[in-house]
Amino acid sequence: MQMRQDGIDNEAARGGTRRGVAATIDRSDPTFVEGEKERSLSSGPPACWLRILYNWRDETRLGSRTLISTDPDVCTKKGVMLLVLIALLATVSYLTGCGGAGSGSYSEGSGQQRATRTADSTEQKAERTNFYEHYKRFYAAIEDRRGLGILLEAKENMAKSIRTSYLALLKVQSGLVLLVATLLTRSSCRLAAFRRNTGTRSGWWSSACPGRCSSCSRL
Amino acid sequence: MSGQVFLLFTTLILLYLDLRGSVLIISSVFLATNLEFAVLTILLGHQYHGYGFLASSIISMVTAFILLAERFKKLEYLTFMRQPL
Repeated sequence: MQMRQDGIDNEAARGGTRRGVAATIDRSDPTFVEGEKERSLSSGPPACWLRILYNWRDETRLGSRTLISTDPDVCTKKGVMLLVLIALLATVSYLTGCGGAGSGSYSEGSGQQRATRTADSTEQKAERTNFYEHYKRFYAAIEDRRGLGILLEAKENMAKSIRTSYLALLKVQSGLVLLVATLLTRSSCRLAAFRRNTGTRSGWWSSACPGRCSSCSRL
Repeated sequence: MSGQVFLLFTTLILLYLDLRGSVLIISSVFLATNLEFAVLTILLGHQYHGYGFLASSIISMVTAFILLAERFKKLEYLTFMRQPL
């Protein structure tokens, strides 16, 4: 740690902030080349905390010295990814919000449930997607020794709420699966391009990449 | 991933209805198929890693759906019959 700090100080004394960033590169690394270091530092904005990560996408060589933060497209890529994540969060919030509305009505429904247990069974409320309410009604009817018709009605309401919940779950899961499939396809293209360029043996990503993506066309 | 979520959801509903035997059957099916497919996919190679879990999730999910539908049809009968005399 002390040696690393000394390196940063020496570099900063020689050439300012950007050279100080280069001092974080391990000089004991056998693949370290002084000229490459200078080339990678000659362009791009000043590196921030991302400087310890090497850009394996745009310079797909092992031991690459180009830093992610010096990539001019990094802001654009981050923006696109942020938009995708915001869209995902909005979708999940919307879909779970529908279910939350049903759950939120439970406290109101529990108060009415006490009333319906003393009143006539025809005063039951309209159909809801709250499973637990119908579940409690079913077992309350058993405890109160009510008729089979009421039991069957409560059971039917339970079945309907389960079906509604399955449908909501299916919507959320479908969205998630589509998003993950999209992201994995993009990652597989990057991995395939990386593996092709580095000459390492192929894997599942090679078959997943059609060879026409932006990562492949750059090479 | 979705298969496992549906499996967990169905298991939760079965546990709500106090059908522990059905949950035991489903969990046993999941354990057995997961072990079997894991060994199979390891033998087949790294291209197939993960597919075993997916297949066992789907099989267990189908089993859970069938058990839930079958138990739910006669829920009141099961509820009364399980009461101590």
